[in-house]
Amino acid sequence: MSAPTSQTSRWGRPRFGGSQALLILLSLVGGTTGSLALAWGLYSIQGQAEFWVYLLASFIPCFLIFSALTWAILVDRKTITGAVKQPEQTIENHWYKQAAESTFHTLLILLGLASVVFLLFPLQIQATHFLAGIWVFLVLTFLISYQVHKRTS
Amino acid sequence: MDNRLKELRAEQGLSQQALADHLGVSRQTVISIEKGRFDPSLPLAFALAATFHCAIEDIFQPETP
Repeated sequence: MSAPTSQTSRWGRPRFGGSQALLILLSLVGGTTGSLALAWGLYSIQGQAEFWVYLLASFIPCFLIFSALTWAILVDRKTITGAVKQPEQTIENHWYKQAAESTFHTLLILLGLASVVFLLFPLQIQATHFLAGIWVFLVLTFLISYQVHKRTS
Repeated sequence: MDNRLKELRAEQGLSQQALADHLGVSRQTVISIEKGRFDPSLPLAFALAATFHCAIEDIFQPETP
């Protein structure tokens, strides 16, 4: 990783200018706003409990995700210490593409087999559980594929 | 693909990290190219040739069967 310079910092700076502290503050504001919006959306749709329940359920898991998303949108990559200028030319990007390809092929096989299983056996399963299970499986497949391609290249 | 990247880099006294920073890629990319495990894209190959002031064919050669 290249050494930090006066122009770069650990978390970077906003695209529109400003300090690292400003970027972090805006990211946390984005995280808070996103979590509140999600809680309000869920409360509006379901409304089966008090609002603070939805706030707690969405804030804890989603605050960091929305903060990271806000950071990724606002940050100027050139100001992050160690960030490469040509990420699309790196071997890490090559591994990512190979892992994505492997995951896609796995998804095709998985859904094909699942179709056959559901055709042969009258299984009753909730769509949300099924889709969540597939999502977790694909994330794990991608992570494992990335490591395999990294080790074998 | 066979290449002389390590040799050319040593001639110019460049570390892997320094070459990576100059090209705008990761150090792991330079390592993988040198070991012949990763073929660079055409823009990256041209950038390498420009760095060492030579032609692409002077750096990379097809693998001998």
